[in-house]
Amino acid sequence: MNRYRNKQIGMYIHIPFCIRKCKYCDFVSEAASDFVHENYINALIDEINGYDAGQLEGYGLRSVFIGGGTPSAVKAEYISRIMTAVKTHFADICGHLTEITIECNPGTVTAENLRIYRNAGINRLSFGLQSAIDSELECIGRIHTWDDFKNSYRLAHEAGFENVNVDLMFDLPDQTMDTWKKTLADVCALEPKPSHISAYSLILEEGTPLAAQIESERERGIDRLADEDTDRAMYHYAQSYLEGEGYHQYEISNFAMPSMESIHNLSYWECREYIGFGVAAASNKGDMRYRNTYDIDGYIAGAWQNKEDIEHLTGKDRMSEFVFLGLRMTSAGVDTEEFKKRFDVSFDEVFGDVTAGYVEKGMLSMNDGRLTLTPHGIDVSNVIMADYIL
Amino acid sequence: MGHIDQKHIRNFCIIAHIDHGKSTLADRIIEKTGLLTQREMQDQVLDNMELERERGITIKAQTVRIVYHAKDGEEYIFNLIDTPGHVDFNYEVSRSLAACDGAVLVVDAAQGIEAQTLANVYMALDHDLEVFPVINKIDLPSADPQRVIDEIEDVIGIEAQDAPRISAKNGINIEEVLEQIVQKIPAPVGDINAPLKALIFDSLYDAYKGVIVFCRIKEGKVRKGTRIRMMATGAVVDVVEVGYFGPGQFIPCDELSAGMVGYITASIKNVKDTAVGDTITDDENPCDEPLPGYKKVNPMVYCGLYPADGAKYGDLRDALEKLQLNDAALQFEPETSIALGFGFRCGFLGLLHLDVIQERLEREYNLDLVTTAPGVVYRVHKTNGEMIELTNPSNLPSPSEIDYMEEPVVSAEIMVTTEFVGPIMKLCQERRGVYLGMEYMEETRALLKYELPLNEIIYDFFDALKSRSRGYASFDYEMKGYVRSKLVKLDILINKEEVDALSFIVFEDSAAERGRKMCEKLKEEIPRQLFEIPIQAAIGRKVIARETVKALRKDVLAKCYGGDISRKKKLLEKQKEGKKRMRQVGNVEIPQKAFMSVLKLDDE
Repeated sequence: MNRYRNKQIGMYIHIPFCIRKCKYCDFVSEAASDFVHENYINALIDEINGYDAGQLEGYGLRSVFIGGGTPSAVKAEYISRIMTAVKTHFADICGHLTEITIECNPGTVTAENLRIYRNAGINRLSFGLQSAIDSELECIGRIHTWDDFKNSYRLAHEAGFENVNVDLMFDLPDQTMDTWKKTLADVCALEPKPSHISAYSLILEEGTPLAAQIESERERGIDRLADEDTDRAMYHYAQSYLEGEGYHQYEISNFAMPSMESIHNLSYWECREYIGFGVAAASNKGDMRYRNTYDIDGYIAGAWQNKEDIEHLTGKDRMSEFVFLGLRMTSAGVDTEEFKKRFDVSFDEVFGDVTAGYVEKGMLSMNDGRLTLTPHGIDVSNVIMADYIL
Repeated sequence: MGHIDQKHIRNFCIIAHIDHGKSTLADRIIEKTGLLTQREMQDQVLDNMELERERGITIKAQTVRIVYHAKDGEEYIFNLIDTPGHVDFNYEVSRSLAACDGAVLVVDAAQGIEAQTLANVYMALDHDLEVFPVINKIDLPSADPQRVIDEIEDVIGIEAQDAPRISAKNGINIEEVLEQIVQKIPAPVGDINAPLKALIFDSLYDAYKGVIVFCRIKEGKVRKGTRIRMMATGAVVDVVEVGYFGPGQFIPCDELSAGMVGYITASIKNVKDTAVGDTITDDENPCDEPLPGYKKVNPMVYCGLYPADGAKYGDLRDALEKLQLNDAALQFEPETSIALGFGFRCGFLGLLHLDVIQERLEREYNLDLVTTAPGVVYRVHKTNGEMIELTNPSNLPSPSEIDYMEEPVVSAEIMVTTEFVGPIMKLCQERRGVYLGMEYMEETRALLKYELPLNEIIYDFFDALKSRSRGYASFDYEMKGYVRSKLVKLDILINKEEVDALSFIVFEDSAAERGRKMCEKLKEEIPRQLFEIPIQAAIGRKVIARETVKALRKDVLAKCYGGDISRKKKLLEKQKEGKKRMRQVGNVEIPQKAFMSVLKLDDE
C-alpha cells in the first residue's frame, strides 16, 4: 500500500486540563474544576458540530488523537461524548478509522474510565510515564510513581488495550546513565511489553518553572542536567537496547513493535492533512495551516470560531516541510518519488546539491529513492534540515 | 548691510577639559546675548532666515554670531567658534583656534587643571590667542576656586586672580564672562583694503548649496560674485553667497570683510576642494602668500569595512562617497578579502572618528557592517631601499624582502593624582611606553610624560587608564613621528586556512600573548560545527597558539507533531538565516562579529 495514498486525514483533539501542571510543560494546559471541564467540552462539541463536514467529502479519517494536557484528567464520559460527536458529525468519513489514541497519566486512570474509553472506540493508550525512578518523577513535577504506573498499565491490559505507548524522557535532572538503563529495562520487562515507546530528551522550554529553576541553579554553578556527551550516550543506548528488545526505530524519538507505528503521528511526518479541535489545536487543510486560540476562557466563550496564525503554505514551504518532516522518519525517510508526484519537480532538481554534500559527509543516505538520516545525521539533524528550508 | 567696525568684533572660542562645562557656558552666552544688531533688525534679515528655515538647513558646528550690549553702552558682535573636543581632531582644533583672537579657558572649580586643559591652553597660546580663565561649577560642594586659580597661575602661568567665578549650569556670573570677553579679548585687526586672505576652518556639504565654507577673513573682503581661489587645492570658483551664522541658520549678508567670521558658498561639490586650513584669496587680486599652518590631514588609523550582505557593496560605496563630501579626513579605497569579499580599506583620524563613521553608515545609511581590527600605518623599509606605508596587514611583504619596520609613536601627557602614579606608570610600561619625565602640578597631582606607540593606545588605553586610576587620570597626546620597532604579522588559521581579515601587525614580544587571547576569543565566537575546528595563531609558519572548537555533538528536535510544525520550521529558518550571516572560510562558518573580536582582547 502506498503510504501516501491521497485524501487520508487525521484528527487531533486537545484537552487542556491537568491535575497539576508539570514543571517542564509549555503546552496549553491548566488545573481546573469539573465545571470548567464541562463548559469546555460543550464548546469543543460545538466546534466539532460546527465544522463543515462537506469539505471532507472524499477523505478518509484514519486516526483520532486525543491529547493534552491530560485527557484522562476529565470525566471519562466527556471523552465518550466527544467521540460520539465525532462519529456522528463525521460519519461519512469514519469508514476507515483505525487508530483512536488517548493520552493518559498514570494515576488518573481507573478500570471504569478505561471501559468507557473502549466503548467510545478508543483502541490506543499513550502513557506519560517519563521515568521508572520516583525521585526523577518528583523532580519534574509528575504526580505519579512507578507503582502507580504499573497499576494503570495492568488495568489497561485488563481492559483489553493491546496498543499502548509509553513516553520516556532522558536528560532529566540528576538522571544518570544507570538510572536511564534501569528505566528502559523496567519498561521492557512489563507484561506484556508496550507496543510502542517514545523516548524524548528533556527540552527546557522558556518560561517553564523547571527552566527557571535550572537557570538559577546554573547561576550558582550547579548543573543537574546531562552534558551533551551523556545525552547522546543515553540516546544511543536507547536505540540499541530497544532494538534488542524487538522494537524498531521509525522516527527520531519513536520506537514500535512490528506494524505498531502510530498511524496518527506518521501522518504529520508524511505531510498529510489534519484537522484539530480544541484550544490551541492546529489544522492543516490543503495549503492552509492555522490554529485555535490559546485562551481557554475565550475558547469556551466562542472564540473557537476564529482561526489564528493562518499560514498559506507556498509550494516552497510544502517542499521544505516534506523534507524536514520526512527526514524525521528514520527508517522510511523522504520518499523522493512521492516528492515528484506532489510537487511536479524532481527532488534532485530542487535539493540535489545540498543532498550530495551531506551524503558525502556521511550524514544522509539515499537508498531506492528514499533519503534518510544516518545515525550521525540524526544527532545533528537540525543543521541538516535547516539547509532544506527554501 | 554696512561694515561693522572691527573694534566691535570679538572672535573667540571656549576651551576646556572634557566635562568642565564648555557647552553649557556656550549655551548661557547665547542665551544672554541677542542674535541681531539693532540695524540688522530693520534690514529684513528675518525674511532670509525664513527661507533658510524652509530649506531646513542646520549648521553643523556650533559656530554662532551673537550680539552683546556691553556695559560701556556699545554693541559688540561675538563670533563664538566651536572646536572639536577630541584628540582625533587635533588639526581641526588648531585651525579653529587660528580663526580666533582669544579663548575662554573653562576650568572646573573642583577638579582643577586636567590633561586636556593643558593641551588646549598650550595650543591656544601657540596661536597667539589671548587666554583668560573662567572658574566653573563654583556651586559644587567640593569647589575650591582659589586653589584652582592658584594652580592656573602656577602651572600655566597666566593671570587668574580676577577670573570670573561662575556656574554655567545655574547661570551665575555669566555677565562677568561677557564683559571680560569685551575687555580681554582683542578686537581683530587686518586691512580691509588688502587683497583677500581668509582661513578655512570648517566646511559642510549641503544638498542645496553645495559645499559651505566656514572662514575667518584675515584681510580684504569677499562678496557675491568674487572669483576666489583656494591656494592649496587650487580650486577656483565664483562666490554665490556670503553670510554669517545665526543659531541654527545661515544668514546671508552682502559682504564679509577683514575681522569677520562667516561662510561662503560657491557651488563647490566636494569638501576636498576646501581643505580645512587652506587660504582663500581673490583670484584676480591674490595675496602674496597663504596663511601659515596648512597641512594635509592624513588618516592615522585604518580598518577594513565590509557590507555584511555582499550585495550591499554598491550601497556602501555610495554612502562612503556621501560621507566624504562632508569629511575630508575620511579616506577609502576598494579592497578584497578572501574571507569577507569586497569592501573598503578606510582611513580615519582616530578610533573615535572610525566609530562616528561606522555609526553613521549603520544608522543613516542602514548598512550592516563587518569591521576588521583597526591598525595604524606602519612604514616598511624593504631591502631594495623602497619604503611602503602599510595600511593593510595582508599587504606585508615577505620577511625576506623586509629590511626593517617603523611604527608611529605619540607623545602623551597623563595627569593623575599622585596615589595612582605607580599603576599608571606600570600601564605605560606594559604598553611599551618610554618614560620622558614627570612634573608635579601641586603636591597631590603629577603630569606624566611618555612616548607611546600609537598602536598601543588606539584600542583600549583610555579605558585602562580610567580603570587603573578610578577615573581620575586624564590624557592627551599628539603625533610625534615614527620609530624603528620589532614588528611581526600575526596570522590566524581557522581549520588550517589563513583568514586574511584576521591578520594583524603586533610587537614581536607581545605576539604570543595576543595570539593566545585571539585564539581564545575566536573559540568563544565560532559556534560548534559538524567537525572539529582548530584555531591557530601563527607567525609565518610557526604556530604560537592553538585552541579547538569541538565538533557539534547534538542539535536535534526531540518532538515535532502537528501543532509544532510552524514553530519548528521557524526555528530552522532562523538557523538558516544565522548560517547566512556567517562568513564561509573554507568549509568553516565564521560569525561576522568574530572579525571584530580582536578589538575586545582587553583583560582589565
